[in-house]
Order: sequence, then structure tokens, then C-alpha cells
Amino acid sequence: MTKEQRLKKRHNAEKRFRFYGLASIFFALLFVIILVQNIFSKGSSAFMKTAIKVEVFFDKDLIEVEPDASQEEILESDFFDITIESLLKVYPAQNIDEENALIDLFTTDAEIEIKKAFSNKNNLIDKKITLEITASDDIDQLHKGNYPRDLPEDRRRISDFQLKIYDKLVENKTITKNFNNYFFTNGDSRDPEIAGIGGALVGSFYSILICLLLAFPVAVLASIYLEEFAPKNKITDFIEININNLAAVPSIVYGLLALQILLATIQLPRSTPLVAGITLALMTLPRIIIPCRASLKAVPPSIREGALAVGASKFQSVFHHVVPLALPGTLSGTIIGLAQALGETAPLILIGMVAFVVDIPSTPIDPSSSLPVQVYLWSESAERGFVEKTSATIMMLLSFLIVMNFLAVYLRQKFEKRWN
Amino acid sequence: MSNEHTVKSYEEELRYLIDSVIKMGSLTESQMVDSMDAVIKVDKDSIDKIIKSDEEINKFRSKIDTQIMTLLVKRAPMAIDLRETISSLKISQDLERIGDLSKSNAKKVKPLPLDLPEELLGNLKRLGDLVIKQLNDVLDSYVNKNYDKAKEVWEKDEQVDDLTYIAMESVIDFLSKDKKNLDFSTHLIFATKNLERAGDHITNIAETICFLIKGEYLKGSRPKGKVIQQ
Amino acid sequence: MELMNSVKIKSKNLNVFYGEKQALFDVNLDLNEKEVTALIGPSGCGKSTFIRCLNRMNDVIDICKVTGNIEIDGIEINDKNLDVVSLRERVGMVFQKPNPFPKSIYDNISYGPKIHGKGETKSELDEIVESSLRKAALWEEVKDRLDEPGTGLSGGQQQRLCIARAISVNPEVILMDEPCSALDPIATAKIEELIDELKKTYTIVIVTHSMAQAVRVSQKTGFFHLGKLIEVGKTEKIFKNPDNKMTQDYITGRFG
Repeated sequence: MTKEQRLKKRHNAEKRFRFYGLASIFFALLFVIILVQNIFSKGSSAFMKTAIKVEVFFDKDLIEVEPDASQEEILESDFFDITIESLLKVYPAQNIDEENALIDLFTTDAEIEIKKAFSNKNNLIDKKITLEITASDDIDQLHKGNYPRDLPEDRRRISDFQLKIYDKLVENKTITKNFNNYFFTNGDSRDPEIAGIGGALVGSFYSILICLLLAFPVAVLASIYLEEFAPKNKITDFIEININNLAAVPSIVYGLLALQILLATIQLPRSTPLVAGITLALMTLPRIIIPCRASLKAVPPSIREGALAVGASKFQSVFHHVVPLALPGTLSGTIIGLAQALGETAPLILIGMVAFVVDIPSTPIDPSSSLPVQVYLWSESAERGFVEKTSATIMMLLSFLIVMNFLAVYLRQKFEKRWN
Repeated sequence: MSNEHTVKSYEEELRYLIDSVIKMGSLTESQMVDSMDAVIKVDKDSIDKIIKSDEEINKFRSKIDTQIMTLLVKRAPMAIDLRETISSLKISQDLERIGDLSKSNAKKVKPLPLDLPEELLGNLKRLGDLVIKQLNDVLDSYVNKNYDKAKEVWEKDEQVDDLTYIAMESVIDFLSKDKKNLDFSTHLIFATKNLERAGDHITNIAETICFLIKGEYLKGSRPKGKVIQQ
Repeated sequence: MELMNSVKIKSKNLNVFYGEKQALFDVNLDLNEKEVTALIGPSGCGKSTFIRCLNRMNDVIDICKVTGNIEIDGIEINDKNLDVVSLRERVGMVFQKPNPFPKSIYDNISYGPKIHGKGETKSELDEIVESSLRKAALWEEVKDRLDEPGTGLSGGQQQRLCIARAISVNPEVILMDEPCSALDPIATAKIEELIDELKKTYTIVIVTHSMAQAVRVSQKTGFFHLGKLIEVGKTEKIFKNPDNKMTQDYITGRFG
């Protein structure tokens, strides 16, 4: 082979490699776009809810509370009659079946919505207001175009009569789509139209918070001890191997551990962010220790020597000089570990977070759900309305993960700029 | 552990310098022999040859100067190398002066008569032979780095002074015998003095060689023989 | 007759082992007060190991074992009970590659005094920072940017910063391990000038690979080879007319 031929061969090899790289990136991007587009198309409709305009008259005779009653008292009292009366005004119903069919067009929470409207404004007694009451799940899905109208009636959830009402409402423009605040403010529900991720959101928040508060200090201090202070012998080697192995242990094993020790032995309350947090902390510990140790190892020995030479003790040289330099790497590792913890489902299922929890937890020892578990639960449900909510929740999860990753990159760059 | 410089060109430069000094020394020695011969035999034909060889000696001097500058700037010589470099500078200076003195003596042959007294010539020859031997010995001690030999040369300066005194006496005697001899005598006095000064330069070279070898200067003042009262 | 400075540091029968390998063999060396002593020798001869013994920096290497005596002002420093932190306050060190802390110039200098309790108020620290930077001939160049990171300075300035840092705790001895090897000739000249000034106040020990530098800056020179101190003496003598043939071979470049 001549020299030119050899040179050409080398250049061609490089060109091929570059091409493979670009092609891989292209395909990866393609699949990401397909995935995102799929999720978005299914989930974006969850952020809107269908509502029907209803005229509500607060008849004095039907109201049991005083005009100056508190919100709790209003929510406790009975507004059922007012509700039924108002809803039935939407469309003429001939008989009890038709009346029930009409009522069914609205959410089961219609009464609560009316109560809330009453307590929000002062002195509505004997007054009339127009409210937009949330539609039922079936109407919601129908209005969003997810429901097939052309099936025979006995195979449909919506009767012909209901369809007639719906078409009339559309014609009169009394049916609208609003922003679905329930998605964020409500907890789980059997009814998809009022189901929200509020409970799961708070549950995840508390779980991750507890995970962070437990895992971060323990992991960082453990890394510092193992890397800087511990003697290098077989025992510490053994510990290092084990930590590396623990990072690879399937997360469900941690769930089993939590089940046996935290729930069965110590008897902590089931299905709470406290237990979830502890479990996730155990899982995240090795995932913080490994990057933290790597960052500590990466600090050049000249920094340590410089500090020691000026008369710093070992402790001072580590904490004043080495640790700040290892902080960027540690932080990235921590945030990535937390992002992984955020998406954990299996161990949380084992500790009972699959329970159906309606209320939004106010403390970490209230039972709750978490975002990925919520996805799991909804994906199991039959109702069509949960399909879009599942996708919407996945969108929320992905957004959080992206934000956390950007935060990791940002913090790393900020600290590196500061120290260099 | 090798005794040669790790950088071969340094070794070569140093060697080249030392060889130049040795060659310059040989030239100076043969020039002095020729010059002495010319004076004793009153040989006027060899004068030109001697003047030419002095030019050669001067050329060596400038060549050695250049080499020394190069060595100093390139190598920043230390210890023995430093002493070697400085010594070659001093020795070449002394050799050049000796060459000049030999040339001067040769020039003095021109006006001399052919019938100078035996005794006078004999004393001059003895002085000249001693100085030539001194030069030979000192160059020898340089080549072989022989401290004792160099020290001997240094000590023998006393003899040179003594023989100078004797030669001077014969010249003054010659002068006093006949006023016509004033002209020749003046030349002969200078010639004798030149030989003594050559001896001094050779003693300088001996001191330099002692310093080169031991790294210390010779203690005490030079041994002095009889000095002519001026 | 010349005025001899008194002995500041005395090492006697100093032996250093890295595990099984012996790095220093029975080193006996005296270092005089307010004088610059240069240590020369080929790579791996033990000169860096020696100066690291003087501030117990070899302690950070687990497999390093030191036997023998080192006395500073008559106090034995190889004593297990000795507080190394206060030893390093008295014996400072400047390294081959400048290693300023990744902090501001001000913080670089003030760190030492702070941890030794030498400057309690801000004005006290300000004073220490200014005087250290002045003594290191760096004040004029950085006085307007004390808040900027130390790592933003040029190589030569960084090394002077490290010298200022060493001075800030008011040591008695300054150890320099090839301080100019990473610097250009101008920066090197500035540091040599600095050493000349500093020797009026501090005892300085400098390890150097540059023979010319050793001649220029030191009054006493020790030649190490394969862990042994081969020859020690006045610098002029060592470089003009050393007693030992090995020394002469090394300084003239005849080492094979």
C-alpha cells in the first residue's frame, strides 16, 4: 500500500466514525421526538377540563346555614337540593330516568363546587349566579374527542338521550373547556374528571425532601471519612467494594428491606413519605457516595499539601480546602441521585403507597402517594379519562427530571467558575 | 561513572581549547630556540622566519580568546572546567608575551658583530638554555598536569635571576672594554633583560598551572635571585 | 575572620525509608541561621525527601518511616508528641509547582494567620496581608485586586503569592523545593532577588536543579547522591574546587 493509500484509509476510518456518531445522534433525537410527541399528544388534553354553564339560584328556604357561616360549616351543610334543582334546569327532562341521565352529565363533585362558589362570595342568599360546573368524565372525554360516538347504545357509556343533551349544549355554547386546576390541586379520585396529582405531588416532595435530608449529610460525611481519614486496609477496601455493589442493587430490594425493618419491626406508619424518604435515602446513599468520592479523589494533592504546609491540621485542610473543590461533582451526583429517586416506583409500591389516598398529605406522616406510583395506579384503571391523566403525569415527571438535571449542570458550572 | 562530559560537544570544546594552548606552547618554544640560536650564532637570515612564526603565535592567541568566550557563554563551566578555561586564557597571554620577547631578541641580531667574546656568548647561551628548558618543563607540566614539575619551574626562577645577573655582568664588562661596543651592548642588555622577562612569564604560567591543578594559589612570594642594581 | 551564622537546624543520623526502600542514609547536615543553603544532586537522590523531613511533611505518606534526629533550635522534631501544626507554623514550605488556594488573593494570605489565631480583627489581618505581600515583592502588582482569585495570576506571580503565604504566619525557616523550575527566566530572576532579601530575616533551604542558581543564591551547598550526603561546604568552594570527585563530576556535567 502506498503512503497516499494508507493516509486515505485512515481519513476514511475517521470519516466513517464521525458519520456513525452523527447517525446515532440523529436516531436518538428522532426517538426522543417520537416519544415526547406521543406523550404530549395524549397528555396535553389533561390540562383542560370540560365545564357546563349552570344557573344556580341560592333559594333562602333551601339553605340551612347563616349568611356569616364559616367555610367549614358551609362545606358540611347540605346543598343537595339546590344542586339538583340547578342542574335540572339545564335541559328539560321528562321522567326520573332522564333526570338521572341529566344529573350524570355532571361531576359527582357538583355539590361541592356549588358550596365553594357560595362561600367564596358574600351574601349570595336569594341571588342567582352562573357557574361553570365541571362535566362528568364521560362528557369530558366526549368533548375532547376521545370517545367513539358511533358504537351501538348498549355498548356505550353515554346514552342517546345524553348525546342529545350534549349536542344541544354544544349548539348553545354552554359547554366550555377551562384550565384544569383540579389536576394540580386535587388528590386521587375514582372520578377521573376531578382526579389530580396534588396528593402525589406533595407526597413526592416530602419523600424527596426526607431522602435529601437523610442521604446527603450521611453520604458526604461518609465519603470524606472513607477518602481522607480512614486507613487504607482490607476492611476499607471491602467497604468500598460493597458501596459500589449497593449502587447496583435493584431498588425493589430496598422496598423489601423497608417492609421488613421499617414497617414490620419498627412499625412506622405505612404508605407515608417518611418511610418512602427513608427507603429512598438508603437507595440514594451509594449513588451520592460514589461521585462524591470521585470528586474528592480528583482534588490535586498539591492543594492538600499547600494547606498542610501553612500549618493547617488534617481536618482543616480537608474541610476548608478539599471539600469545597469537590462540591461541584458532589452536587451533580446528588441531584442526579435525587432525580432517580424521584422516579422510583417499585420500592414505594412495596411500602404500601399504592393505597388509594384522596387527601393531600399535610405532614410527612400522613399517608400519601407519589408521582410515579400515581402513574402506575392510573395506568391500571379502566376509565378513559385516566389515560390522558397518566400521560400528563408522565409529562410532569419528565419536566421535573429535566429541571433537576439543568439545576445540576448550572450549579456545577457556577461552583467551578467560583473556585477556578 | 564516566569521566567525560555527558554533552560530548562540551568535552570536545574543552579538549580543543587545551590542544590549542599546547600547540601555541610548542610554537612559542621552537620560536624561542630559533631566536636563541640566531643570537648566539649571529645568524641574520633566520630573522624573517622568526617574525613569521610570531604572527602564527598571535593568530593562536585570538583563536583561543574566541574559544574561551564561546565556552563561557555556552557552558557556564564549573570547578575544574572553570579553572581550565581561565588558565588557558592566562597561559596564552603569557605565551604571546614570550613570543614577542623572542621576536624582539631576534631583531636585535641584525646589528650585532660576528666577533663577540666567547665568555659573553657562553653566559648568554647558558641563560637562554635555562629559559628554554623552563619553557619546555612548564609546557610539559601543563600537558601532564604535573603539579610538582610546575612547582619546580616556579622555584627555578631563582636560577634564572642568577644567570641573568652573570650574563648582565659580562655585557657590562664588554661595554667597559671598548666604547665602540656601546651600541652592541645596549642591544645585548635588552636581549638579556628580555630573557629574564621571558622567565618571569614562564613562572606566571607555572603559577597558573599550580592553581589549575590544586585550586589554590601558591603560597609565598616568588624565589628571587640576585638582582642587578639599577 | 568571617562571621559564622549560628546553627539553626541540625540533622544527625537521619534515615528515611519508603516501605522497604531506603531513601536517605545517615544524613548529618547543619543548616545555618539567616543563610541560604542549597541542596543539589541528580533526580531521586533524596534532597526533596530531606527537606520534607524538616517540616514533617513526610508524615502524610503512610509508608514513610523516619529515624534519627532533627533539631531545630535544639528541639527535637522527630518526637511523636510534637505538634506538627505548630512546627509548620515555624517552618514554611514553597513547592515546585505554584499551588495557590482557589480563593481570593486576600484569603490565600489570610488563611494561615487566621487558623493560628494571629489576626483577630479585620485590620490586623489587612496588615498581615499587606506586609506579607510587600515582603514577597508582590504588593504593588496586586494591591488593587486582592479579591480576585489567586489562580488568575501568572506563574511567577503565583509563586510569589505562595511565598507570601508562607511568610504570612511569620515562620523562622522557609523550605523551597525547586521553586523556579516551572517559571520563565524573568520570574526566576525576581524570585532569586526575593531570596536574597528574605535571607536577612529567614533561614532558607532551597532544593534546585540549576547549578547556576545554587551558586547565585546560596552561601552553603550540600550535594546528595543516592540518598547520601556526599559533600557539604561553602558554595564558592563547592563550585570552584570541590573536595569530592563525585561532586566535581556532577557539577561539571560528567555524571554518566
